Amino acid sequence: MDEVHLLQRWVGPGPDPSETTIAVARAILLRAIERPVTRRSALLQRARRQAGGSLTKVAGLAAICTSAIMLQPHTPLGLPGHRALGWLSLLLVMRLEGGTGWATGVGLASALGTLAIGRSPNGSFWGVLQYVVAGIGIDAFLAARPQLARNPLHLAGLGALLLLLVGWITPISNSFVAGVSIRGVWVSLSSVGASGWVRLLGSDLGFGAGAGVIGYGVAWVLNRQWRHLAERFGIETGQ
Amino acid sequence: MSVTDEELLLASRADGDQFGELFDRHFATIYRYLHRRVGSDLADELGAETFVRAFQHRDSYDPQRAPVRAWLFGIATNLVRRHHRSEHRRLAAYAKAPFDLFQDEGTAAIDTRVSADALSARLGRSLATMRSQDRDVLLLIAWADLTYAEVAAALGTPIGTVRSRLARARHHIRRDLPDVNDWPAHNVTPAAGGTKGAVLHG
Repeated sequence: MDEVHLLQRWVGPGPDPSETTIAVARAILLRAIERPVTRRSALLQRARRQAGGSLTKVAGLAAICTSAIMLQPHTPLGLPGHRALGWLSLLLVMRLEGGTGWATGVGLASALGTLAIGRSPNGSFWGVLQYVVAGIGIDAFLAARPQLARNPLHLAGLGALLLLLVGWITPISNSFVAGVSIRGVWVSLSSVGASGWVRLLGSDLGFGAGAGVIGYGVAWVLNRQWRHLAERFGIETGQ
Repeated sequence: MSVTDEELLLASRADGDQFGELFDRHFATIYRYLHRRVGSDLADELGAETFVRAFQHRDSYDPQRAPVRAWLFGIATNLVRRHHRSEHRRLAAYAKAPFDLFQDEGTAAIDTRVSADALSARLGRSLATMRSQDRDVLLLIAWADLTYAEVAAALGTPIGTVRSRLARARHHIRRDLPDVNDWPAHNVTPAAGGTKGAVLHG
């Protein structure tokens, strides 16, 4: 006999609910159906649903991620895109933990916060615009293809693609801000040698993929710890 | 043509009264599952709460990710987690109750019945000491009659995780009850809901 048969036999089929149980449960459900939902509570409920049942948890995580992105140090490694291992992975964590909209929200908050404290890589909005665009990209891609979030390799691909797209924002916009014409930018790009392109694209792809894997790993650990705490203290994790 | 659960749930987003039909279809099944996990008193409460929560969260339901039935079992299982002490009390009660595994056999099997009662106590302890995530998977298969894919959808985990948790749960029981496979299978009558979960294991 296998374990499943044994368990089925052990407790039997379970009794049907009594008429009273059904009537009471139906009455409770009907009250919920008929209860008017205000717009404010509907918005809160939606945010709580997106946050997987615990708005406080995700809001706290958003504050931590925003602060971490704002204060991320500028390390002179000379490898384009290496900082994405920090900020892009944190945006992915926010989307995986909070649901749609949280990556965009944290991206925007990080961009504004970084500007406010004067830590933009080049002192202008263009230096932090990539946070916002990447956040929107994460939310949009995972809203269209939510199954991508379940596989670290898929997230690595998404991270690589996003960094490849947003990695150009800062250098190109800086050129325009500095008065360089479109033709000038084109000439500059076309003068980059093959080895330079390999280094540029390879770095973006590599660091973007790394950010995807790190984001998945951090979210996995957080979920595991959160479930452990929720089970230990009987906290609802939402559904 | 009858309306599917998924169509009903989607319709209930615009017309909440449609949700009542889902209640009629699934309340008894959810109740029986909850009764086996936490006992009658709490099953009354959690059965009603499962459907209220499902109604409140109906906007977030994605029919491509899970059938409505599995989704409801997922909500019920989440609610059970908040009452792990009640579940442990329930398991202790099962462990103390006579095990009628061999009720169809004659008096010659009286020694075996004694062994079965001892097995019941060990099984209760084994389930109580199992990791709750593994227990959820095992009991969703055994008592809710869900498939692996449905359990994965109900718990929001990959199917590979379901397989590994089930393997861990089975290993845990075999470790605590090494003689479990010696019990004859011919005498087993499946519980309500069929043997879908059992068939998966061959």
